[in-house]
Amino acid sequence: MNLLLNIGPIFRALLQQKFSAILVVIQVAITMAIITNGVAITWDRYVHIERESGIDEPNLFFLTSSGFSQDFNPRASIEQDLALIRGTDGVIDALQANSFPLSDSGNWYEIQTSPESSAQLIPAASYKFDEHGINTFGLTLLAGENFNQQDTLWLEEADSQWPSHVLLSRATAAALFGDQQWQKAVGKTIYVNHNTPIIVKGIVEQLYAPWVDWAHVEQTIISPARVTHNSARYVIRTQPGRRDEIMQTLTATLAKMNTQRVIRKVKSIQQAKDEIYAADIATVSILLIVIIVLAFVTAMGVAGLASFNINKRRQQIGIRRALGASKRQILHHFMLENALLCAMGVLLGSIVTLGLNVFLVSQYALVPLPLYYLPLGIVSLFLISQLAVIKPAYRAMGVSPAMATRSN
Amino acid sequence: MLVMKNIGKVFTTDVVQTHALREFNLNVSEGDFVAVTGTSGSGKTTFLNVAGLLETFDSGQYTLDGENIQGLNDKQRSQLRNEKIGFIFQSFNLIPDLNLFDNVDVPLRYRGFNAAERKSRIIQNLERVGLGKRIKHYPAQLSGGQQQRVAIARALAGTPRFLLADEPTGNLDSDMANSVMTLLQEINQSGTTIIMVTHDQALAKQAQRQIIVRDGKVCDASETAAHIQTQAEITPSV
Repeated sequence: MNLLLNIGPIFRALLQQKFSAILVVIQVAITMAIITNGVAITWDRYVHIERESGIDEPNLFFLTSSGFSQDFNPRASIEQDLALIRGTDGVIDALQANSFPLSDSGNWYEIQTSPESSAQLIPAASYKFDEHGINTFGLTLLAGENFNQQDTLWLEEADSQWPSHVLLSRATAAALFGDQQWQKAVGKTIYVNHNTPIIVKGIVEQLYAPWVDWAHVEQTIISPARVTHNSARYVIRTQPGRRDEIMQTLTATLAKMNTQRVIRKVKSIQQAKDEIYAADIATVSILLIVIIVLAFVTAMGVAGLASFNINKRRQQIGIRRALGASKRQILHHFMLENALLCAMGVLLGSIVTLGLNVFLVSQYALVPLPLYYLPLGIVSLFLISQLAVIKPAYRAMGVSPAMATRSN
Repeated sequence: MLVMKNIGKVFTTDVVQTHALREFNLNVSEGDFVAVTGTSGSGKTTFLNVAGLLETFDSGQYTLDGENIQGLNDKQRSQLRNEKIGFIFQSFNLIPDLNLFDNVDVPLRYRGFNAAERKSRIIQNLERVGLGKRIKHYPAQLSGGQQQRVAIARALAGTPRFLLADEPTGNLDSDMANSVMTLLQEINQSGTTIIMVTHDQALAKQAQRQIIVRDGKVCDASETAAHIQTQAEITPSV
């Protein structure tokens, strides 16, 4: 017997039991709306957390050297410290940096391709690294060349001077010169603060801004400079697997080497990342739990209603068996009946899902739901619902045809 | 056509074993109209369930239309039930959520007939029982007698060799009961073999042949004759 041919009478019979049918349809629809939007939000957050910042995250750590004595010489201290750090066994490279990806603090400037006021302004986070920047962060130079020692300036904290050359992230070059022309940025002059000219010396593949939620997170600019300040932050890249060990030994060595300062805020980039994304990780975890619980509750609800309906119709099942239905046909009957309810549920659910998404986007500025989530939601809810009804349907299969001759 | 030899059926619970049928012997020929009577608990319904392949039996041999029932699996029994047996139940057993058309359609779908064939059989049989104009009605919109007529139409739609009727007039008033009995007799005259379980002697008398079940066994001929005589003296005719 062709299974689908039975849709007609099953559908007509469902119309006679509107209340329980509507309950299942509404339950499936609401669950689909919540699960689909929840999964989309979760995935969006997950991608946000897992995206590459462009630096060698697992092997980087940073620490802050804060001088406290009146005789403390920041520049001499930085030079001594960097010489020691770079000479330490297991250290690949190190630098003193004003800011770095995932540090959650720093500055940004507007840059443009010409000094005219009509030129488009491109926001870019500003890093001050010396010629060790590329090697310390593990960046990939796509075009042009790295700074050399002569490029690097020593600046005071309040100094507004800009070095003559900069490196751009590829996204910055693309924003300035267009997606297809980004390589042509090398050698070109760009302008900071409207009219300060700087020549682009090179382009690195990816380097994120310090703030993970910044809208222009991929747009960064690196100028070759070190800033003399009583508090200097060093970023250190180690050989794989040696980060934690070197973090400990180097902290102790630096502290001993110069007693006019303290070493503090020693942290791996991974730790900094975990802290920055703590709220996102909590959101993802809570949403995942809600999604799993909701899917489970819905499955239980569908199974419960199916069980109730089957218990209520035991004699009817017996009658069908007496009239010639095989056990498999009884199983198919209930699976098809549930599939019909579920189909109505996901149809309504698709509308509710989009409606909920429009609401979330307008109220909480979330990303609009990619449309491919709808078929994913439909298939998932369909599967959950059909799996939930298997056990009750198997129980229906076991009803004896002799049930037909028993009194109600 | 329907031959039962020494059929035994035992129901076992944790505390007791009940022999519902023991050495049950019966031979029904094609075209017979047999009434099976007996007191409550005598084994009538168990006989009907076994004869209709609704339940298995524990011992003996049962041949239906030349086919040995023993050893058939559930699917084969379902198919045989669907093709060869029509059921009429005391409480009609229509499916309340389906209209008359869909109710009569149930066994035909399991049989695998195409839509045109099913429609023709449904309409023909509903017309035969006088309900051809009410195919879109639901069982709850019909009287008891009409519901039983729908059940008869459903039983006949697959052109079964046997009609098994379990107290077919048990829930009907006497007028409706007579009309249903008349219909059954017409069906029998058209060649369908009918086995009717009833406790109503007046109805049983209208069958060609009457057998009495007592303690799970068919009474022998002399016992049956004596029983019929006694019942005739104490039960007024319908």
